[in-house]
Amino acid sequence: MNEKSQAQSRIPGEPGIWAFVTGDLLVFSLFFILIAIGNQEQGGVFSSARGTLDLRFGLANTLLLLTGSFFVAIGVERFRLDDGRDNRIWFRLAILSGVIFLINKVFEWNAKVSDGMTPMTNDFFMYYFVFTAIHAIHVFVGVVILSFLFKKSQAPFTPETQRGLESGAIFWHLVDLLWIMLFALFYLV
Amino acid sequence: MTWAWFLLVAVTILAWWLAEGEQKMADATTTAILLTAGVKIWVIGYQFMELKLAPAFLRYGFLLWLIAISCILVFLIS
Repeated sequence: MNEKSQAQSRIPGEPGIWAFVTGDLLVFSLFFILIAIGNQEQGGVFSSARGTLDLRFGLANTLLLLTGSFFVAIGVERFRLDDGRDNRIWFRLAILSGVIFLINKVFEWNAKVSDGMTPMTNDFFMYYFVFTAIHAIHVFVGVVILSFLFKKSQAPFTPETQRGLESGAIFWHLVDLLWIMLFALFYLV
Repeated sequence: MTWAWFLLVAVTILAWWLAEGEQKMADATTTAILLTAGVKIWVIGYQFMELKLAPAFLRYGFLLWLIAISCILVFLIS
């Protein structure tokens, strides 16, 4: 890395958020590995259980989170431009994507329970309900954080506000990123 | 930024299409699905989380984690 690029590189957000991201990635890595081991040891059970999931719910939720992340990234970029424009709309849209994700999830869980699938049914459904619930808690916390970002995004530009906004955005992107792998492992493979 | 979103959506649709036709080549399809998930995660990290601006230890640390977990999952599932 040359001198110029060293001068330009910086840690996005507060350094502490990256410690949290690292911890969360390691915890979820364990979840991913548990699902993969379950899949290896009980291929038939996992395959038939996976077949009962409605791929449309998973696909819709993936597109919702990807689009929500896109909106947040635009909101942060616009805030940095500091051109006086009202960029709260991007955070409002991202909050909406998170709320629809959660509503979608409740419908999906409800449909599974109505069909007699519970965490006690087999290992696949135990992982499915527990890990997607832990992820949904992340989405809920993310929506709360986005509500703060919504207010902060109208504050005058300062380096502190910028870091705060970036930290909240990084958490939201983490929520998106974790879902990508859960979606692949539960619905697609 | 917009290209990243289009790429992510396109790769998601590709993975969905691969999953729908899974019976064709199960192992190769599973590997492809996990790799497309890895690519999406990298785009989210690099572009949206702005690791492209971050110091090398953070950028490559994230990449190292992603390669490690992708390899483990491909090994266990394929």
